[in-house]
Amino acid sequence: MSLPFFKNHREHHLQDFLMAYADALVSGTRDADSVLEQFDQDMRGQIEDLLILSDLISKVLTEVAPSDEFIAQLRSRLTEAGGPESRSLWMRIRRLPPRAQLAAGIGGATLTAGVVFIAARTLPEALDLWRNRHAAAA
Amino acid sequence: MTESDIQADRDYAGADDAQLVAWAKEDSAAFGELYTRYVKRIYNYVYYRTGNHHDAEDLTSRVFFRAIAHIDRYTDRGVPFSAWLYRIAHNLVANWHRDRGRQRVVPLDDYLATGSGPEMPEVATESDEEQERLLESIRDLPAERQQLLILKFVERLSNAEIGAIMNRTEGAIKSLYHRTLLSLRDRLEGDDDSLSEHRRRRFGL
Repeated sequence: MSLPFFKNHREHHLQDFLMAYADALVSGTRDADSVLEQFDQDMRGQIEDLLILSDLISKVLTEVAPSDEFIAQLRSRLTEAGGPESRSLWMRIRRLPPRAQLAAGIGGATLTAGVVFIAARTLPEALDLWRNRHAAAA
Repeated sequence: MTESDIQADRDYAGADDAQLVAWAKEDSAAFGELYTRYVKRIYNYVYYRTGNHHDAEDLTSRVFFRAIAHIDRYTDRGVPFSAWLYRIAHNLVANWHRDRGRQRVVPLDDYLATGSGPEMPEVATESDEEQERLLESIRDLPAERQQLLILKFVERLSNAEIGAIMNRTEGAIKSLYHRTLLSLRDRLEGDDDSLSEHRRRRFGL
């Protein structure tokens, strides 16, 4: 068998060992010791720095707790903001059936056209009125 | 049947994530249950990626607001719902780092507030410095390696769960863990004293 075969096999074995050790640390130190005992001294010696690091990491990376106040406040904000009655108009339209969405689109377009029509009729008259007043003042 | 009637009939606490997600598209109370299940995990992940409680609160909030805004588009693709939340958190943290142009925050006071049991002051100082040095080294790691360490040691997830979140096989997770340790060792290599001391304590050398 070729050297790469053994090298790969050994590397996988090493990775299994390191991960088993990490899992044991997470569950409790006694399990970690029992994992160590399963492997020969040679293996342990080769990776003792990595085992030490695993120990240190398990001590440093511990669970932190957000404050109860933060948890409660955020939940309140989320459930108020995310309720169907408070969703944006656009989101509510998106959730309508396709025909209803089409009807809403036509209605919106008609309303917009009406506003533009009225503005187009009244704006020139408003401008004339403004010009006349300024001319009179001058 | 009113919305209140529907909500009264639903067992949010007893429902699995898939059911809650389906309800959450219409029902904010269902999303509230999902939030309760995952807020601490997301908070922990964000805390260790940012290094302080203030930014952790801010980004955790953003994660869940983004989730509730896009829950309509969420589809079950065979990975846990938590994987989707972690992905949102990962992206927001990446944007946070990019916007601030920094890789670490040094919250020694903040960290000490959440630290472990009582020690003599002089021992506590050395220990805290070592731990802060290691934390800084962890925060200097690429994002996916940080994520792996946090999911393994803080969230205490199995390799299968981590693999689902990170979209990797269990074998790839083990390999990544090995490379992460090697990388950390190289970073800390100059600090021979601390490793030697720990070697003596751990192996009785």
